[in-house]
Amino acid sequence: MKSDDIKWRVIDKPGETFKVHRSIYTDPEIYQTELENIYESNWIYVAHDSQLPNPNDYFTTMVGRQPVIISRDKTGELHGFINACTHRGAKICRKKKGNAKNWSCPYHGWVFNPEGKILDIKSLDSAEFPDSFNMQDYDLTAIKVDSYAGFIFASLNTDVQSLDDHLAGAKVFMDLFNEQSTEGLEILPGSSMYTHHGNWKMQAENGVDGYHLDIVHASYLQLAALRAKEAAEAAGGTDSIKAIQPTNPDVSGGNYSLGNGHVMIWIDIPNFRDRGLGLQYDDLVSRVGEGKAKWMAGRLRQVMIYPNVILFDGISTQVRHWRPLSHEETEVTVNCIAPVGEPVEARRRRLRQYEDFYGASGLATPDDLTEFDACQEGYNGITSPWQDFDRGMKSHIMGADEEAKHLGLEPESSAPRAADESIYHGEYRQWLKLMIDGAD
Amino acid sequence: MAIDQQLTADVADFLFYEADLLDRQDWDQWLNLYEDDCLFWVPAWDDDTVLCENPDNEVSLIYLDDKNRLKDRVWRINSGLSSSLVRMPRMAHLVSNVRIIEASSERIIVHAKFQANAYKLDEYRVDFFFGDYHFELLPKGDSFSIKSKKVIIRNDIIPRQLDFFSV
Repeated sequence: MKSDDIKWRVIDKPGETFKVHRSIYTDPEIYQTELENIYESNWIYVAHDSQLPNPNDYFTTMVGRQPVIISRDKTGELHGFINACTHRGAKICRKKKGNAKNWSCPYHGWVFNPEGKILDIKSLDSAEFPDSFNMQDYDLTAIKVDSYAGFIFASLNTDVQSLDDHLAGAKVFMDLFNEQSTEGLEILPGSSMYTHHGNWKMQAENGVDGYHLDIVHASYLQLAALRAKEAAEAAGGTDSIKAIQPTNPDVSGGNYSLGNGHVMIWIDIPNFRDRGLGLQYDDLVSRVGEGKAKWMAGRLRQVMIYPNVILFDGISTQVRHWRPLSHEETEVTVNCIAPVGEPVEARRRRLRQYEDFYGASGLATPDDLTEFDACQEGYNGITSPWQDFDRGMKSHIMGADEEAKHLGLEPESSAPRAADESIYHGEYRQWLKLMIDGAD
Repeated sequence: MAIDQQLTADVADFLFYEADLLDRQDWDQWLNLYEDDCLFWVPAWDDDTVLCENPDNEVSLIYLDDKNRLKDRVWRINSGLSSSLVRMPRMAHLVSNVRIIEASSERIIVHAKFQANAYKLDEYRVDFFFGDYHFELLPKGDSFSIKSKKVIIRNDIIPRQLDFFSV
């Protein structure tokens, strides 16, 4: 696509209006360009350290449309490769994860090690290859892999900026997550994948949307309050979940634009001592101090790392990442993540709160997915083509607010309510930048 | 152990009855089948072949360890506040391969296979889950009550929604 075909779809007039044209969710040509210019040119979240902890572990996943292997070599260093044999292209590693000193392609038996080096070509002596044939040219095709605070990202673009630069202000919140245990975090066993009708960008929007909370999740919030009331009255009620009930995002919390499209929302949690981490709050305060402990346990934080992952730390703790299947279909993978070595009771509480709210089998996510479907259908009404992200513009400030300064955070912008839609300016400025940078 | 053919027939009939209540959306009668301290459990898969077996340290898709939590889900349907539950799918549960694994005067362990078919009006699509039921039933008069229902879903990529009525 030419940049002129893309630019007009975002109207960005600071202080006046911010609009996107709904064709960005419905146009198959936009979608193809997003795959090339966003998903296959950028850092994409792929896995967590704890999913391949040992030497010679590997993990298979997708970056955009392309199958990849993430591996850890015998020294513990991470590598990434296109998951296709350099011989005839068959996928080499077929399982989700495993451990192997070398990988033998199941098709013709070519053998590679976890550093991508080719070790053996079957019947090389009788191959009659031309004189120009050089076995070393057939190492696996490497991709960029790097990690921060245990979160592993990959990029198909060999010229991509460093992961450190890419993550920008998001690193402050990744550290706040990772430092909840001195031993870091671990993905708990039990992964779930779900699919939904609706463009992938709605995933990137909704996970940092405080405005929909009390509407879409009205049934969840009322149920949480009802359980707590019945348990308190002991009217035959039990409440082993103690669902998290954040303050009203319409009038509290805040949001930050963290650079490179990364954004986050936060809201205070009055019943934070009911959280897994809240059960250990006093220990946490003595280890990290009151200020950090409040951010870690007392504040819901949902951090969107552009373009494909959100780190949730509030209702429970979740890593949610997605990949687009088409302009109107999305596949989402969700995992519960937890501090290593937390007490049994805290772990159980975390799990019950996780299952209660999150995932397509929880009491909240199916309602979000239903709205994505409804939006995707509504966007076909292209006679009504524009939507604005103007809510909160008057109180949106450039740079750091007081809370950010206390955290040592230098955001691009700050806003005083979690329900402000000015949060999407950061996402869509990055969207436009990446789409145009990669355009002809 | 010789399994009483009549018991197998009675147990199968009870499972068919539960399935029919779900298909007819008769939630009150359905809840009546469960003990107050029941367990309704749908474990997640960790890997292609590894099913999570420890709900205190591993993720479940659904883990309801009290009848009040089943009532929560029925309350949500009746509340009209959940957009995913406003247009309920039309469902048909097929239950088969009913086998009594253990039977005593105190309890009966039953395994069965299921396929739960859903026609979703919102999405104009048909989906289904299939897998295994593991029941612990308690004899209750001339019928049974449900102490626990564990559902192992074999096709666990979830198209938008998985709830108690979906399996």
